Amino acid sequence: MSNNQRLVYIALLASQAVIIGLVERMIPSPFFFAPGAKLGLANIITCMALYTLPVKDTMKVVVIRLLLQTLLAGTVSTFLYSGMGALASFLGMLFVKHLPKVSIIGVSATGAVFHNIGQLVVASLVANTFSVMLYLPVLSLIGILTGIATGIAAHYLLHRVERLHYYMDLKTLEIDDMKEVRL
Amino acid sequence: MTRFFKLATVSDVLIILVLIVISFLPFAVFYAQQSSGGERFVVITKDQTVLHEIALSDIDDTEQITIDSDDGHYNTINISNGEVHMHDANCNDQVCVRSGAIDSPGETIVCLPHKVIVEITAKDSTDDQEIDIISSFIFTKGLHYE
Repeated sequence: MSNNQRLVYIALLASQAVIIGLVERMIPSPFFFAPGAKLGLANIITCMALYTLPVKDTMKVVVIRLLLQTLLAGTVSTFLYSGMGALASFLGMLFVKHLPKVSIIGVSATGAVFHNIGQLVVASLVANTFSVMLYLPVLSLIGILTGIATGIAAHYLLHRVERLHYYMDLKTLEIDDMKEVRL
Repeated sequence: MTRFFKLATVSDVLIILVLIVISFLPFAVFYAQQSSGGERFVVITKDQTVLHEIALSDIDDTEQITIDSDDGHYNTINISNGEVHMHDANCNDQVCVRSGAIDSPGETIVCLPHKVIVEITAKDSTDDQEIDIISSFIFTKGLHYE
């Protein structure tokens, strides 16, 4: 993949994630009984990036999305919460993806739960009390369900959008190349 | 619907189970912390200010505490034999009276209409901030129920 092609693809994924995030903010939360719970549709893009781009470029997508979303619709405190959430979910998804036989559904559910964990860790540090963490089961059970749903969506995107096959093939090719160089 | 479930593998199901366990870890840590403390205290809070803080071991017999407010609201709390219960209240839902007696650290009786919280803690290091956070969660949840 040429450098320009890669840049455009990263920029496209990041901007799609920002737009999906902004549109999601306009939809009233379906989880009225649990303040703070949301659908996390932008997770679809992170999953797609994880499966079609190298780790370094996936991180670029996540960071660009985070910064743009904060500039467009956030404050410093939401940046702290979503930043820590994005970092935790990215690391969790990366780890789970390397486990054997895990499909995109497990990766996406892990991302959702670790996003909540990251957010609540920041919240309990800000409030200086551990009891905020007791809210985790409510958020993460909803997160697992929405994570499964976004995982199914990402699975169908990866399999039905033909252009993405090209990037997936490229990624496996690149990994094979690196292995050969090391050998 | 079944074709969606066919996408998931056995490891996915295992991961989801692990995630559910992880999400309940804070409860385990919280109760381990609370039960390790020695002395139990009753903390009575109204409008997020602490009114009474009594060690359960200081009360030999039965003690009755009444929380009155200017607008005619009252809550009567009975403490006896290491147990605490809301004896009487003139709130409109009576949830606090019906919630029964509490005796172990971390348990609470909440009277939402009068904003009274009766809580048992293991130590007397209950800083006001902690109560603020707990009660704000209770109040936000309570608001969503109404």
